[in-house]
Amino acid sequence: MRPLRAWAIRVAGLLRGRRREEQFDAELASHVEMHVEENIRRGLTPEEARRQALIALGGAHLRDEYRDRGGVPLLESLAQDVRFAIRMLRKSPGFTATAIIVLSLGIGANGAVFSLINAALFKPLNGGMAGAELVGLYSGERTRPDRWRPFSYPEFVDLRDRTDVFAGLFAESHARLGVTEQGLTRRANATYVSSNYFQVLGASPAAGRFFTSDEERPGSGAAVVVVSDAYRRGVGAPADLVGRTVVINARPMTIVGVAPRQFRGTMAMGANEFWLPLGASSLFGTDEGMGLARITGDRASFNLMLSGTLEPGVSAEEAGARLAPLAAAFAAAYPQTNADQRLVVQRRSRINFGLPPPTDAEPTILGMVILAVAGLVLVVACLNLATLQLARGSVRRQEIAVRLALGGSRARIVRQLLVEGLLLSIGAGVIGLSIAWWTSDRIVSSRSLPIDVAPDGRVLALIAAACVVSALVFALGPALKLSKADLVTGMKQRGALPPARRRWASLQGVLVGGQVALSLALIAAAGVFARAGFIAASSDPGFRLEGGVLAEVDTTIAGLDEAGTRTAYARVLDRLRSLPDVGAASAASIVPFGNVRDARLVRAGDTSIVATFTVVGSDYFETLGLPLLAGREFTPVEEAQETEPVVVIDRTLAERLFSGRSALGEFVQLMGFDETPEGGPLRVVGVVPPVRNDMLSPGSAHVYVPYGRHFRAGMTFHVRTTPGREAAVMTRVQEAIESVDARLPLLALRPMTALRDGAPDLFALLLAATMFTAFGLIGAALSSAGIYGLRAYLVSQRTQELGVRFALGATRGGVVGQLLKEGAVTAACGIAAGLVLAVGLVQVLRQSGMLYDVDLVDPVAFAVAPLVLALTTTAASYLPARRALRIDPASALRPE
Amino acid sequence: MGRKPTDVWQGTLSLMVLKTLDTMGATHGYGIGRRIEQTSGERLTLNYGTLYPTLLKLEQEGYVKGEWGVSETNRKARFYSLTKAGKTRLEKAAREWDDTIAIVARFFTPEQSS
Repeated sequence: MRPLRAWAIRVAGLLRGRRREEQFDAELASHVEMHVEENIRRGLTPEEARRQALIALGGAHLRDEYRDRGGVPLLESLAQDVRFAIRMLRKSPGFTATAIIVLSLGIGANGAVFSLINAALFKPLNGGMAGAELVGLYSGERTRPDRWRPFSYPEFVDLRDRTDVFAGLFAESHARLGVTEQGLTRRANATYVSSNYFQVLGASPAAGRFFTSDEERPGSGAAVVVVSDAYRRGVGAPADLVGRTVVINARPMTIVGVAPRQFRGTMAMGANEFWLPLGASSLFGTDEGMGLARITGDRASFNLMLSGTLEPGVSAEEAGARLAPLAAAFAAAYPQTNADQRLVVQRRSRINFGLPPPTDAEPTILGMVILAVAGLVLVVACLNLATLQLARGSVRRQEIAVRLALGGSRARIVRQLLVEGLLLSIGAGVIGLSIAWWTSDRIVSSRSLPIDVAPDGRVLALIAAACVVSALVFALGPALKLSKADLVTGMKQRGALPPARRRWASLQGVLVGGQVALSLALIAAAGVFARAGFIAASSDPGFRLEGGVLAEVDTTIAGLDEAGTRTAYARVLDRLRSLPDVGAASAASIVPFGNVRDARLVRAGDTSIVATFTVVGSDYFETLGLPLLAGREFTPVEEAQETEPVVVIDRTLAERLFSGRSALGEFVQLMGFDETPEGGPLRVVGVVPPVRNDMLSPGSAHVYVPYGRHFRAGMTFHVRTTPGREAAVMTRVQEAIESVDARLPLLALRPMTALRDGAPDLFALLLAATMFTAFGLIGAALSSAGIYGLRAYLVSQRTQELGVRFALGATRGGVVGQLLKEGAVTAACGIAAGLVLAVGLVQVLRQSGMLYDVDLVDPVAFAVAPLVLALTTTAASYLPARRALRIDPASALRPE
Repeated sequence: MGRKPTDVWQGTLSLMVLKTLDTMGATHGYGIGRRIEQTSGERLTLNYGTLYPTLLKLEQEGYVKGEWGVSETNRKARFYSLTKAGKTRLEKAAREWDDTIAIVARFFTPEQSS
């Protein structure tokens, strides 16, 4: 304990140093006086008395020893180093600014990448509530390994109750429901859950309660809901919400509980607003298009996903093995539903949900690769800084030589230079942290991705590590080099560079050239994406955009069943078609450039083709502005009622299925992707031109079926008017829909041109262009810094050679020109390599399917990129060359 | 243990200081130094300078307490006194010394016939 007390006092003593020293001076003075007095009493003369007293006191190191013991000498000398470092850094603002910018960009980029990866894959969900690992239970088949299905409620009950493998097992089913607030309806993410869901995940209600087992029972019709804490949007206290009513799919539901603040469910991307008990699903309608199904007690009704936590000590594989006898028992007891069942336990993915059971292995690897690349960029940037440091350090050689000569230890000098480096990297790290947070936040919020990227301990640890590593890379090497005692003699060497330095210079040259190449490739790719966006935005989709108006409606939200929906939609269409200014009106289940895609396999004979599947009303093609190539549209009768099975295909399908001959009158079969047929053969009654449903791909085939035979609750009404009249027509459309049924929620109302402009594909192109531009510019900045550092280093090493040249009469311009030429070689190699790399990069990116319309070597992008880099590299070479002009031949030649 | 020779004397110096304070009560730095020289029969010539770091260490460890006061010659000086913890430490140290001396003495006394 005693040493601890002593240390504590010493640390506190750091602060009161001066006062302590004054006191000690007083104490020493009085000591000396007392000794002098006694000496005088003994008979010495006053001068002798004083001399003896001072001798007895000891040497100059007394004060040092006292001071050292009074504080913590290590910390004090570190503080000294820091102060000195700050002074030195202020003396070379250019280097300091460059270093801080380069390091903060590099560290910030690493931090941003890792923040995203951390949020998606590592950060504990729900504020750490789910301590144990979450596993999913999946039902597969022993003989067919790629067939999976969800569970039914009776199966869930059996599994939950009869096994000792799980510490807890819950059931969930995701849905999108409509919430009506203040007259406006919007879609929200919701989850049906079993009553033990929250308990297994370790959450307690922030207010109210969670669900009971009664409410969980299918068919209970329990109109209760638990809301997420985000639902209250920071207003009031959670307890205020309990007991309130919220209207979901036109049904009033009572809020019985509020989830705790950070609780978002089982996914890293969690925007779940509502949890409902399993029994609540019987309150709402079903819609095959929206994936809404009723959860019942029927053993054959499969719509539940099961997850849970394992008993401690049981691994996922072990759990699967232990469940095998149970699966066999099920297969024997329930041959219709559970034949050949195989129960598989696997760790839950945090990003994907559904079947077949997803893992996070691929995203993790991808994330690590990207992080490694970012780390590599940082390391290379630090190597550039090291070169810069060496160039700068040569100026300080004198100061260092003097310190060494006066007896300073090499370790102390190295330590001081390291402190300088750490100061830079820690400062940059703080800035980098802000960059990382801001960047990752912008990326997710621009897409409204509900994922929490706030930095946590892991991110901070990574940034700290990045600071330390970068300081070591860019400061330690040069520090060791510069503090060598034989530096002074090394300086005297005239003529060519010693081989060690030449090696370093050429290594740096290659690295810098590589950076130039990479930056060029990135900027070129950015240009290509920008071009693609430009082209896509002005491309022809195959139908007329101008004059089209869309109105999106979903009756499941309004609580209407199929009959009610059909009546309502029929009346809406009547009213729309009778509006003035309206040339034609129809409805469709999906829209081009939309978020929803629906597809089927279309087969005729032996050929099966994937085609986009749309349910449409009569006059759809006229409304869209697509001329009929053959045959006819669907009739109003086919729109309203179930008639003979008919279908309209586009020219792409017609050519590929019935090459040559007319498609009219032929039959096709629609199938799901697992090749199970849907319905019977359909007769082709019309052929239309192909359309593009997004801007990036050349367009898939399309198949259209009439609304009378294929029901959808969510449809979009299309209205055609003359271009320019869209705004007026939109108002009338809204009135028409409201007048038919005030409950019908209007989810979107806009002109067709707006649909294209807001398409996610355009956004993706722009995002890609922005990201590549950002990386490219960062790369250009880093490579410029690298070139600058390299040239500065070389110039500093060759001071004497240049001095000789000047003395012998070389012109300033001539020398500068030669230096520029040398620098240009590195840059030119980099640019050439960059062009090759750019072509390769664009080729790879084309595989993503986003760059369909752009040439491989887009002239604009491939001209701008080299130009940008030529400018930056020239500027970077020029500055050190100009420094060379200031070399005074006389002082350069003088032996140091 | 790799202690430098000065460390050994530093350790013994601490003990001598504690013992001096125990015997004499509150004393100033100079007085402690003189007393140690006297106690050693003038065989030790003390470097007074080493006293002060030692006193500081003892103060930090809580074995002595320092206060400003006035000396017998009416001079302002800092007086050190033994604390209770210091007293305990002194007693423990005294026992340890006795043990050490006894063990070492056995090596240097003539061999006892076994």
